[in-house]
Amino acid sequence: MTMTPQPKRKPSPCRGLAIMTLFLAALVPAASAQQARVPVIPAAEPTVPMAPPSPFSPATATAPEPAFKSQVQSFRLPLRRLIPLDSPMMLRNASSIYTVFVPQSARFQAKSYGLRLKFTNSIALLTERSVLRVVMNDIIVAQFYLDRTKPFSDVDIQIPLNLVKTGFNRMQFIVAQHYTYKCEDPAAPELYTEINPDESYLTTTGEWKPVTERLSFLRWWIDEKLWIPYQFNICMPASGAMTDEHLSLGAIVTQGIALAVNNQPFRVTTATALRPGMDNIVVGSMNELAPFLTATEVGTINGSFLAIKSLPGDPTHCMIIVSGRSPQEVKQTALALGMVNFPLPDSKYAIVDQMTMPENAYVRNAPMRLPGVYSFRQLGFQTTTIKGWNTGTYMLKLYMPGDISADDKSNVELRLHFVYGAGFRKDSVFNVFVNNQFQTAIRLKDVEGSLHSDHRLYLPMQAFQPGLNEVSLTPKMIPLVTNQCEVLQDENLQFTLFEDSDFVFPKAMRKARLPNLGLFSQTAFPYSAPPDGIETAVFVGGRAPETACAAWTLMGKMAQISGALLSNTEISSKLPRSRKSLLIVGPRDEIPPEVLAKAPVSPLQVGKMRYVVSTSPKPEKYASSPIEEFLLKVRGQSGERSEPEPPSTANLNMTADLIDDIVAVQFESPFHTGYPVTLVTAWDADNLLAGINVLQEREFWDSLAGDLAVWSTRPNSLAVAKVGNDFIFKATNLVTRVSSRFDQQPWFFALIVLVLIALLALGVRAALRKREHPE
Amino acid sequence: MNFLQQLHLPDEKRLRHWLPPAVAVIFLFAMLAIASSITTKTQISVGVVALAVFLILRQFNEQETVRVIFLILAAFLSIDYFYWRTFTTLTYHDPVSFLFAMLLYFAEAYGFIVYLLSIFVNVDPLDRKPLPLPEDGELLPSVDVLIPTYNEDPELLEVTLLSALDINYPKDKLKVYLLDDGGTDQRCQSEDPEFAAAAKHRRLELQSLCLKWGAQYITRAKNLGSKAGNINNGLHFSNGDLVAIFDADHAPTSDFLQKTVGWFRHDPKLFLVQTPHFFVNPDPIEKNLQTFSTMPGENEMFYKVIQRGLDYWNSAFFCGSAAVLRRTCLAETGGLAGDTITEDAETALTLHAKGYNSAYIGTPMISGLSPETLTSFIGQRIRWAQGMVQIFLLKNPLLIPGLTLPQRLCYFSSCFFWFFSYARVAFMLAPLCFLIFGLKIYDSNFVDFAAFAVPHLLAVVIVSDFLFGKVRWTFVSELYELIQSVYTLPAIFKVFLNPRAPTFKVTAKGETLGDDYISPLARPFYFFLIFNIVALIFGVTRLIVTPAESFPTGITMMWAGFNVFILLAAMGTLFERRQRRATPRMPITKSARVKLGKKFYTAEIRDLSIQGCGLVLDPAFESLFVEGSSLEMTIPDDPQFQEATFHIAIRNARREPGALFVGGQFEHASLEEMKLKVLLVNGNSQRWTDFQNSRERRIGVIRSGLFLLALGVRFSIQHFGHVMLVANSKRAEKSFETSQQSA
Repeated sequence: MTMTPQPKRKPSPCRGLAIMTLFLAALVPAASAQQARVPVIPAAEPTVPMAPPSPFSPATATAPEPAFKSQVQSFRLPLRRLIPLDSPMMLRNASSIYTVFVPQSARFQAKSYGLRLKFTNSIALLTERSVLRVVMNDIIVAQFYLDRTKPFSDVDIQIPLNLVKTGFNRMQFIVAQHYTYKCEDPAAPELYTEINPDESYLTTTGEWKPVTERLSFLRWWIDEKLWIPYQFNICMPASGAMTDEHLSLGAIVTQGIALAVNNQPFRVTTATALRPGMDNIVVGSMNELAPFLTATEVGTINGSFLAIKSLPGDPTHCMIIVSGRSPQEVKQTALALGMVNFPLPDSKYAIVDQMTMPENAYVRNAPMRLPGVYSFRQLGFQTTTIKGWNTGTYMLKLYMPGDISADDKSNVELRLHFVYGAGFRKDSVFNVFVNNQFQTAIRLKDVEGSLHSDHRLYLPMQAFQPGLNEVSLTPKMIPLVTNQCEVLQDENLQFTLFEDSDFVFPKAMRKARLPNLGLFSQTAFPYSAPPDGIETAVFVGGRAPETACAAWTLMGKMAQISGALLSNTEISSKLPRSRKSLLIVGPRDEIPPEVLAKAPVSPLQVGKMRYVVSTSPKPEKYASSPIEEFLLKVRGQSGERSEPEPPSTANLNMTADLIDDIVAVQFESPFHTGYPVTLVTAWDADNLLAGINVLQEREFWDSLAGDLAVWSTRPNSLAVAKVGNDFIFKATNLVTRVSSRFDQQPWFFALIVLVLIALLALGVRAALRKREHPE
Repeated sequence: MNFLQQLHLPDEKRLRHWLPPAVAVIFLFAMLAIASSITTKTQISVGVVALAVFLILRQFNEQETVRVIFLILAAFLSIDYFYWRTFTTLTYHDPVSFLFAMLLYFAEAYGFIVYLLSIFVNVDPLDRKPLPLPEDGELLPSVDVLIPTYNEDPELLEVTLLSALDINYPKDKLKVYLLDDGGTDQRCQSEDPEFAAAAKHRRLELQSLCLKWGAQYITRAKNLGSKAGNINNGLHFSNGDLVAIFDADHAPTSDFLQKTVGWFRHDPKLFLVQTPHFFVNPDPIEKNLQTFSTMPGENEMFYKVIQRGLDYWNSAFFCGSAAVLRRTCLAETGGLAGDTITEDAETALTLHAKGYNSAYIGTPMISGLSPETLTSFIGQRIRWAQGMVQIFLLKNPLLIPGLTLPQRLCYFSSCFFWFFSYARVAFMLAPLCFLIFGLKIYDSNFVDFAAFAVPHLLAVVIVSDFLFGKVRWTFVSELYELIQSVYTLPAIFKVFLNPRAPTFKVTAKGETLGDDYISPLARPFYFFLIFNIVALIFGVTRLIVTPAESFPTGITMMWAGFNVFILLAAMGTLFERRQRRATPRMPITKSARVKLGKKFYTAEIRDLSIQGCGLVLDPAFESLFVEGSSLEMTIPDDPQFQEATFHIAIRNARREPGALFVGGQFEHASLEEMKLKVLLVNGNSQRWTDFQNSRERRIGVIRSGLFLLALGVRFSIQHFGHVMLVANSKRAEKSFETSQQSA
């Protein structure tokens, strides 16, 4: 697969006019036309022959479709895409396995599969006994000697088509590595082989399958297993003047698609007509969509209407109709489409009679409710036994709220229920990691084996980050007899962790310190809190379709992060001033000046920005203990800094306007204290959309940090900085601000409590004295 | 009508009543709102600072403002703890654990509520002084003294009658009535001839007693309404403006009316002046632990602090005896209220609700008798507990109209306190749940526990010592409550099943015990002790087997250890000591002159009771004062007794370092001498005050704990020694019988 970015479009004032003209021309026949002409944008990209629309029912078919010739295409998928970013594919020890899961979409009919594998093995290996084998779905597809004399290998492997199934295919790289014929240390450091994930890649050749005109098939059609970003066009015939309603519908549809493709990138365009070469989602009321429908079909619409059919002239792409008799019904259909996990009927179309949204929106990545006790079972863990030496890790994924604080000193309690076998060496341990950082361990010291029913461990809350957290529990089991040249018995190395083990989360400190684009990228916080986005407002600057697409893409990405549809988010081309977290997306000329005025740096002229200057880091505290702090205060010095100081900056005046760069900056709202504005802008709408599309890639998205990010469509172009001042999210009322202050200075808080109690006591005492006293 | 009046706002007086508690509650909730949003680390800081301040402020507990600061700070810490306890530590693990977790939580909730109420009640105890009476006796109200009796010994009644007749008050304004429920027509006409004869005999005997001393004898047809019915019958036959009520064993001092009646003249809405109950003998726990003369008495916490606190909020209530009531007020309620078996508190509640006031004078002016045996003691407490729970259910002070908010809280506190039995049993069994059965009943980690629970627990102990340390040493309450709890808990449960079922049972007084024995009430405490010791053993095992749980195990073991500590003291109290005297001698220091033969000797009266006295003389006269001799004693220094001569028979004489001690028995020859003897023994309230003051001292939390531990160890050893002795002697008897039979 090639990771070619979208071709950059230069601003073209004529293009919008052309679209409008076509649209107006197509409007004329309208609802009564049985053989309506479907508005189609001339193909600027690989042309797909266009044909008259095909009706839903074969009985009403009046025009034969010309034969569509499917094209054979090739794709390439680097192994890097299948493993964590920046993680090596290292195979160590005498035996080791590395597993990846290869996606295969139901839409693609592969004709061949191949693997280009580039790896480096140790020059200390005994070639005759060192082998790398490649296994696809448990079948060996290739094996190689690890030749010490040729440590750098580059091999091509053909994978039999029958081994590759639709869905995720388990591909394993398994090594047996030895350095001697005699007895050896199986964990010797010279036993290694490393696969280069950036230069190793899978290839496939094949063609796209025709659309199955069934709504139930949408679950497989809008597919995360595509090797390229899923591309679709939102066709809204009436969106020539993009209204807030259109923005809202487009946002819902885009998020629904984004959720359907899980965390994979996607590309959205919008137009008033169909676009060839991609799936089209046609959104509009019954009357607006008349050109796309036959009279019979129009007559079928007696409510919220959802349908699927092939794109005219292109059976490999679909047209999804999102319609209804009224705007409310159209919105309801869009929401139904957004409920990607909801199984749709096995028919060409469906009427959504009624849809009730749950009180608490469905959230795929729902954060923990703190405090609370969660069993492992609730977290998707099932009782599992790990056998043998270095053979596995229990992994639990936890989604923490976006506003947990790094200052929180409380502990998470882990109540483990596990059993381990007999005959362990006394240095066997059960290690606990949070986000790959070691936290604590249990020594598996009982040679006879042991059952622990409520073994309690404590993990610092600070080890957890907002958003996704991985807790890995690794039993390191070592047999009692490990002498070299003795047969190693590892059948006794058994460890079972039970699903009724618990996490006990404390009442964590909830205090999000903003701006923080890193927090935004990890959790979409605070825009996804609550997950239905009711406390979020999006301002779309200008009416260019690309700007709308940029905003929708960003919302789609946020939906992917939180796992929920931002169904109640306010989206508008007028600047919302409600008490909400604000997301502003638009080209530079459309950004409201009052918002720009509050930004710590003008995103319009990044060349004139302040750059962080490296200075000696100032200590966060000057005193190491309360007593020392007290003494410092007595001397008239401050022992503790209340707030981290903003980074030292230097003003560098370089006049350079935005040309290719895209800028994201987050700061406190000029309208409401304690609420953030995240502003994403570029020179023009095209640049903006291209930039946001690039931003979806892991290398960019996962690297967001600070409060300012500048990037272009070039690889590795992202630069981040922290230039503005911090504020506490929603620290709007006195209690929150006071509480936050106290939290930083607990001794001060204790003093305040005492003073207030003394004042109260004086008041009560005075009141008691005023009572009618017999004395 | 001005604008404010139109708003129906409370008037200034009511506002003054409501303002302090309202301000306190609002403030504490505001602090709680902030505290709920801070972290454990901050909480630790607050706890440390607060405890440090506590330790400093407790040195200044006489200063009223300091006292208020101290109590509000304590309340804040405890509210903070309970907030955390409620919202953090109650976790569902399994049904059984959750059930016991909730039972423990309710017990803690009880303690928390009682603790806060106690702080409120005792925020500023009132030290009310007696008001002087006018010199002109005509201005004084007439007083009827009512002494209800049921089955008490006539000798005991005679002392009470004589003490009542000796009260210093214009004779034409004072009438003494003996209200006899033991000689009613119903009893005299009983179908059991023996019982009927005894009742008739009692009636005649008491009638002649009253005739002899100038008191009125009243009985009635039927024993309806128990003590309240008896008093109401007496009210029907008397007509004084005020009514003084004394239990049959409560002998008043001569200044009783001098110190109480003045407040009735001052406040026309006053319905009650209550005074403390003072006992001249130890209660069974004091007796068995031998603490009567060294440690403040059990009821002093109530009569020296709590009643004064209640008085501050105009909520001091009638305790059944040693009180004066206004007849017109009683008439409004038809006499003493009789829906419950604690008619005294119920009557006070009813009259407070009608807007009348009460007063409390803290000077002890009666001398009474505590129950001698644990069985009688527990019986008395069961009645009190049942009666107060009846009030809680039938006349809940939070609901009945007419009371002020402080009065509601005060009465609620008085009633709710009696649920302590549930809390005590729960606390006794809770450590077992975890250590033995592994139930998860309290979810916390070390840091949170240290941040929230430790400051609260320390504050509770320190506040308890701060408020009551002089009159109730630390951990003594736990002992008393534990002893009662096992037996009052089922009694309370019965009240819940049928609130009107309990009946009034007269507490036995004046019993003597011939031998030492193990109380029949001891069995449940053996179980508690065994279970807690077993729990400790389990705890040690847990520490070894599951060291990762050392924190919860350690804490729970400390808890079980505390239970064992209290149970050891309980073992001591359950070893009943013999009681030789029905009326023990109380200390006194008074110079006297004794005449032996024809010679006079200077002596000092060291102790005194209605039956005899102890004299200290020069040891040189050892050969003269021998057992069986008779002597005459005069008290020339006291004008009240200048003319009196007391005849005494020497019962024992022994040499003490530097002195000769002579124990004698009164042998009064005349009615006048008898009367003067009663006046000498019971007439002086200062003597009771001095005795109380001699025991009243603050020894601190640690010393108090060590004191109780020493007692517990010492007397539990004696307890188990006695058990083994009895077992051995029974075994020996059995083997002797076997050998006899085989022979």
